[in-house]
Amino acid sequence: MDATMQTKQAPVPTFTHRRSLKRALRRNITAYLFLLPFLFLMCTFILGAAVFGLALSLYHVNYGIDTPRFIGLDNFRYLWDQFQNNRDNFEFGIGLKNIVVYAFFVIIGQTVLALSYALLLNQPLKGRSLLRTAIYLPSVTSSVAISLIFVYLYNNGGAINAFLSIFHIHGPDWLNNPNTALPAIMIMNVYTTAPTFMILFLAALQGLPVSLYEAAKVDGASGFDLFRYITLPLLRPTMFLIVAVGTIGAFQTFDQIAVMTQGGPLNATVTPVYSIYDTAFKQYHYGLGASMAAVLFAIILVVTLIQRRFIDTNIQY
Amino acid sequence: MLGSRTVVDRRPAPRWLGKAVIIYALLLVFTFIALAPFVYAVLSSFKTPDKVLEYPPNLIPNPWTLSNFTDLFNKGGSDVHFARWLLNSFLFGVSVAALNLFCSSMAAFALARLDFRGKNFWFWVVLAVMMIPGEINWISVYIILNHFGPFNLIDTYWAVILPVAAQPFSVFLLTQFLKGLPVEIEEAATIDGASAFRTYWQVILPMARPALVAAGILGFQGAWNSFVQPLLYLNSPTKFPLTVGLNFFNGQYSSHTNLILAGAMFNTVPMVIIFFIFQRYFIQGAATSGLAGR
Repeated sequence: MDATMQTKQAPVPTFTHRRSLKRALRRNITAYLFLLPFLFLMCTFILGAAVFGLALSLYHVNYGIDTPRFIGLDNFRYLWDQFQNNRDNFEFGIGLKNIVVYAFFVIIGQTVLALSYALLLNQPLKGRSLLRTAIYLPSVTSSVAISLIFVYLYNNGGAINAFLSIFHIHGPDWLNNPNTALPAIMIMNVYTTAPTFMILFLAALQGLPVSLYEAAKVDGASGFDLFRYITLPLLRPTMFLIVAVGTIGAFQTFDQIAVMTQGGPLNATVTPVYSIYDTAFKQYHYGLGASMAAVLFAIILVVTLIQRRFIDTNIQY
Repeated sequence: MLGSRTVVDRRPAPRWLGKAVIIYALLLVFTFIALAPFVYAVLSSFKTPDKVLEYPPNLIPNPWTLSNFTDLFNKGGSDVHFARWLLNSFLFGVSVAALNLFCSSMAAFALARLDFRGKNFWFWVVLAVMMIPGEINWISVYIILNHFGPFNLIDTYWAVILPVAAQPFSVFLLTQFLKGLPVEIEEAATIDGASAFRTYWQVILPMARPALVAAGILGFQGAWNSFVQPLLYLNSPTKFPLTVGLNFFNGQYSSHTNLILAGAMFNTVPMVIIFFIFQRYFIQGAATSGLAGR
């Protein structure tokens, strides 16, 4: 880019200092005019809103009734107090506990499934692109439609239990049983997110150097050796990336809960984000909701930073 | 990017038939898992109300009926506006895609092709804001929309369009693409005396078509499938998009499984068709999101 500007200016060396300053100013104004619509929207609805959201956590907001009142860290104190003394009934706390379990299993599930999809589809097969299309399909549809379809499938007398009964397994009433509701949503989520991550694995697999495989084969390595000692280590950066993106996604689970269970039965599927929605938009405690969002943001940030420490993207072939 | 068969096809085909059989068997299982819920839901949306919940369930409707689809538009309470929801979703998707393309492509042009102070800083900001989790903005955006200058935008179409009209991911995708275009053509345009805007509009945009299509489709998909924003910022059932309408309908008439499934099809099938036509772009988008995550 810099080179372009220089070549453009080079043939006219007669510019006075002042004129070139004027030109630079014009160049900057032009560029910022191009950026203006995007920057305005981004600064209002993303950056500004985030700062405003964090600030709101320090206020008591009785929206539409009286003006917000600054209360310092009282919201956080209240959350901490509830967390310590009211463990069994504190929705946000239960949500945090649920989401740790949820994230753990979903991340393992989606990473393993995505890798299996990718390894299979990376084989030289007839009809590969058709199969890839079919497998990618669950990632295209909306969370609401998928959730409604799965409510139907998980129904006590639904298709999943009918399928299980072929193997003489008596399936539970998935979404109405506190022990199976969260696992049921986990399974659904693994099913819908794995194809997206499969694409990342496929892209990485197709970028692996063929020469390494050929050299190893000359040395007499078996197919499993190739996978264990070449493919897997070289996929490490992609794997960590998928785990990091997957964690952020899992911690923000909301749509499926709102459509399928509304946090029930007995708070078994409450997630932190669902609790934020409940607190702010159903009970109108906007300040408290904002402080929950701030806590969740901090948790996601810390988890991401910890994971970053393990991400080593500078692997040399 | 993925469609090219540079690396893979140079490897020898499976040596033994056995290996190929195992791979195909596994793929068949995975494909079955991926498609079965859809196929079953599609078929069930043609079942009559008593057959849709029968146990053990039958795969094939008997008798077949189209009344679920027509009932959605004709029957239902006074708060069910199915045709309107469908139209809203479509308008919502198109407006978000168009507005986002407009803002993002101009921003990307500046970030990729112009030289100015703070360029690297703003590109870094675009990357950084992608890490902000949406729910931290829910409440503040609600209040901002309520006091948007002299206007109260809550329960207007603007409330669901404006907050998602500038997508950092689109800017990232387009900037990466524009950086790869050759500089010569643009130089020729500048020497011919074209203004920056004309260069953007007549030279760069036509060349950036593949990336614009990808960003446009992703924008449409995001809006068509979005649930949270319209749930939070719209109150009147006539303004709902299909996702929120379906959820609303599900809450009111949860026993009408046949209608709910038929409604879900209206949400799913258009997206699947778009996906079949523009597959390449979806996959490009998904692969680029990995790049952005780094």
